[in-house]
Amino acid sequence: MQPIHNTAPVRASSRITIHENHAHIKAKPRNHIPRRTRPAIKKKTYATRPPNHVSHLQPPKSPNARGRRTNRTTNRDRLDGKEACRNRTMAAAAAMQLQQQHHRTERWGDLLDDGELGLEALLPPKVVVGPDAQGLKKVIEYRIDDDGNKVKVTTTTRVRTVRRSKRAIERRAWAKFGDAATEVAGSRLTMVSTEEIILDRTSRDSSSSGSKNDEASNDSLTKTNKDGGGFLMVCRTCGKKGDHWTSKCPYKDLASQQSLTSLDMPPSSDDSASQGGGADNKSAAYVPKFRRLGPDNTSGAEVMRRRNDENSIRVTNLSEDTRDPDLAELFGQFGPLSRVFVALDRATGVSRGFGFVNFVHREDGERAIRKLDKYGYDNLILHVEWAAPRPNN
Amino acid sequence: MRPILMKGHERPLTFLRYNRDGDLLFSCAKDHTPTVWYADNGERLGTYRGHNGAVWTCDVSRDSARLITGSADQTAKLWDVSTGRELFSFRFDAPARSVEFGIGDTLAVVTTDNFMDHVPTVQVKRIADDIEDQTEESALVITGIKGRINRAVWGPLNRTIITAGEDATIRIWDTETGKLMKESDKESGHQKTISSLSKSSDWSHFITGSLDKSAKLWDTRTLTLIKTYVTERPVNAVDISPTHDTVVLGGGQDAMNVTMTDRRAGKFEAKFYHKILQEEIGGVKGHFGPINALAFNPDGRSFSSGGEDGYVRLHHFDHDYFNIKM
Repeated sequence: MQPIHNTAPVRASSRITIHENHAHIKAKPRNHIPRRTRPAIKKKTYATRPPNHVSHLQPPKSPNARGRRTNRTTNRDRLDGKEACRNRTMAAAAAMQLQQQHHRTERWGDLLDDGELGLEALLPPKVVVGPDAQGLKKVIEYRIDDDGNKVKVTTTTRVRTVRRSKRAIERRAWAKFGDAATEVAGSRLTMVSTEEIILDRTSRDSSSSGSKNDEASNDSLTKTNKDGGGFLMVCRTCGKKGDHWTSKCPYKDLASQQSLTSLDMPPSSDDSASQGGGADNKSAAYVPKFRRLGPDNTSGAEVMRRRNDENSIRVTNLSEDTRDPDLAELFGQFGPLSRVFVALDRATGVSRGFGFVNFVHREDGERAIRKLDKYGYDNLILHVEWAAPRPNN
Repeated sequence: MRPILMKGHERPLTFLRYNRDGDLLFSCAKDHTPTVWYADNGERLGTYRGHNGAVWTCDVSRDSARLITGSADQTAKLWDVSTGRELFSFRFDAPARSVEFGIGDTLAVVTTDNFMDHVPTVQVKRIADDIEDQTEESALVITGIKGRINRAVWGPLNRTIITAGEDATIRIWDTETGKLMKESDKESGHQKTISSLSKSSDWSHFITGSLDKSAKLWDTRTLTLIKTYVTERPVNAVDISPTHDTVVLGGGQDAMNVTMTDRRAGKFEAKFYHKILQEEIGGVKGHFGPINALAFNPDGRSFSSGGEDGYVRLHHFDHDYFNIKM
């Protein structure tokens, strides 16, 4: 096994290039290469130029160095020609990066020739930091954007060294064969999924293990209850101890009605459960879930309506300061209440001047209406009447 | 993870195989051309043209120089992996359903189907180093199995051959004598056709997938049942992770019912199970047909699946896969 580092072979080659350059500094004049051949050279160069070696290729400061520049280009061309075969894949990847660099470095000679001012020559050189221990490589470049501003571009890339067997590397270079050799470039046989696929762990695993845990904990709780004597598990609906949780009460559908009609009654224990059982058997017909009444189903519209309409009294012309406790105090004198409600503005929290009171017993309500209608309360005359049932009820 | 989709085949996939280094992936399909892909980026390297029928199976030699394929055109062919050149063709009387190189790549086991009047056979061929010396003679022919043999693989040291197939029984044969050595227990074993068989990386145990909606892990030497993985759909393909304690099961409802039901109802996921705890870890969705072939990369970091839909999906695992805690 041998590690492959993308940039390694290229770096070596460019070093050679530079070395050779010194021998030719004076030997070749600036315009040794005829101008008409230059574009071709340019093209070749930036297709094969190593990506991270631009720091060596800064525009020279003296005219003398100019010859060196051109020269260097030719030398690299020759060397990289060989190199190009080996690093075909790499070259493609680097091409984009190179294009930008070419913009700055390669054009320098042309710039002077064309009489343009090489503003870019004044820019600081490109700096390459790393790759560090984490494989992070930082490249700091400077360029001048379209508006003439100097821009610093910092590119951070992660360099990953992939270990592959020698054989695998050889196989990489194999020529395509069969249908693959004649494949059209745009055939797109291989595509990366646009969809992010995750190893879906939620499906059965979590739910099954979750419920298992629940059961286990339930069991342990019930057991401790039974053993310890003190009952943790008490059903709030039917009052049974240690048999089931409130949510699993078999009588919850009925118990809710009871609790609504007789709110002040203490929760009866086993006998109410048996009553409930009897009633349960009576209503054998199927009731859709949303029509069922139960502590679990408080959101059901039916339940809300029922609760609101039971012996409900509407109080209007309340002063703004009146709150639920005040109303409870006022109406509580007449009998037990099941609900007190003052309508508040949802945004401001200020009373909207009316409220509802539900009595447990209807006769108490009647008495309250007789006494409190037209009653002066907080310097306002109350208007008390039976709340009208909802039109759709 | 973002799987790589490889659409080189025009018919349902039948088999997937990585080479030993894990850089090449060979795929077989019901179209007639096995294909080789680079396993890291899914680029197609080449195709092997020459078969005249569905290709059921393939195997690649340890040095990745030769490929052997078994096809419904009643031949098994040897290929030069790097050029796609056909080296040799073994002719049979019936479709070749399963092929595998033995240790050393000097032997290959080929199974033939029950076809017309022919009974299913397991045949051992000698593979010559020099292709000029290659003959068609069989070194050993095993008969006596009723029902199609879906898979035949070598046991440790080429001493045994393990077969599994339509009769839901796993058998171990002696390669010296050709005698039956062991047979799986009818009670604890599979109840329906065994569709696939895959060995662990050290060959000490293997997993079988069956249409009875389960996969079972067996000991290679004693043929004792070690584990059972129960799923909801017929299992067409199985494999064992070479590095982690996971197995992967692929399958789905019958192809004929696919168009009649919702995609979700098909259960076309590759299901991952914990090898030891037998618990389901999760599923990888994507195919819109049953999964016919599954293979883990020998480095354990990726796996590929081939489906009835003609796609090969190459999945490189996310980081969190390696940190799964049960």
